[in-house]
Amino acid sequence: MDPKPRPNHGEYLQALRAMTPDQRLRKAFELTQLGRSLFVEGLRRLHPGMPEDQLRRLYLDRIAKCHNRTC
Amino acid sequence: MSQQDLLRRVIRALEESGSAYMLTGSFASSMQGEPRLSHDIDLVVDPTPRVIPSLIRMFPSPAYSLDEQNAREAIRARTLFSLLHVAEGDKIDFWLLTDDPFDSARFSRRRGEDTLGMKLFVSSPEDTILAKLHWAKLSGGSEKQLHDALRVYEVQFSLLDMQYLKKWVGSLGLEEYWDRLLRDATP
Repeated sequence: MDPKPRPNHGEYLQALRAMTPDQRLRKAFELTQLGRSLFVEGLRRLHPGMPEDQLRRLYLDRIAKCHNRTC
Repeated sequence: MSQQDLLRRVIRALEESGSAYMLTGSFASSMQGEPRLSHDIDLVVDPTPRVIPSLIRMFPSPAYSLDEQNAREAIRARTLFSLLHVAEGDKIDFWLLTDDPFDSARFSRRRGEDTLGMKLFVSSPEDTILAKLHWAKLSGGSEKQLHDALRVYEVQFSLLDMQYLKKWVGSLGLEEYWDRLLRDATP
């Protein structure tokens, strides 16, 4: 399933188990926010000088393509 | 509006309309397994007639996109309708509760979790795993779905009702994906 070696996987699972459901849910929201910031920054670098509103539209267009898909 | 504020507000609209719901999909697997990024929040909903007026009042256009006719048709046909936060691109998918035996079983087993300063009804870990395996099967083996199921299994291992899981693995024809999960799991 996952070819990546995971030498500390047992410890990783312990760390996940130590978190409360609330903490894990909040972490998921944080990750989505971080992913969004990185995505927008990547678009900004790809299109230097593009106005922010245009960048925003491009971001929303890309996100719409991601919904319910593996992207 | 942040994604969690959007979820809080949607739950308030559902509760005000008297509609029962449960969180499922990747945010349920994030709560019970490994947190991950997602722009979609999936809810299974058993709606009352007041749900659409309530959602439209709380999520007005043009800040939000909710196709009223599509939503009414989805409720009639027991399919899916969506609410989009236009500025952020965040989406809530409302999956209508059906009379499918697994859908009924998992909805009856939903549990209340204290999170985000409220009580949120969430799919049980067993049902999150089963739903993820079911989606993996429907999508021809989605690695993302299998990974989510695997992490919920690993994190919740000592708490899982294995009899319930095995019963539904058989009923839903998920043996291939269940066996793969057991092979890959580190309990």
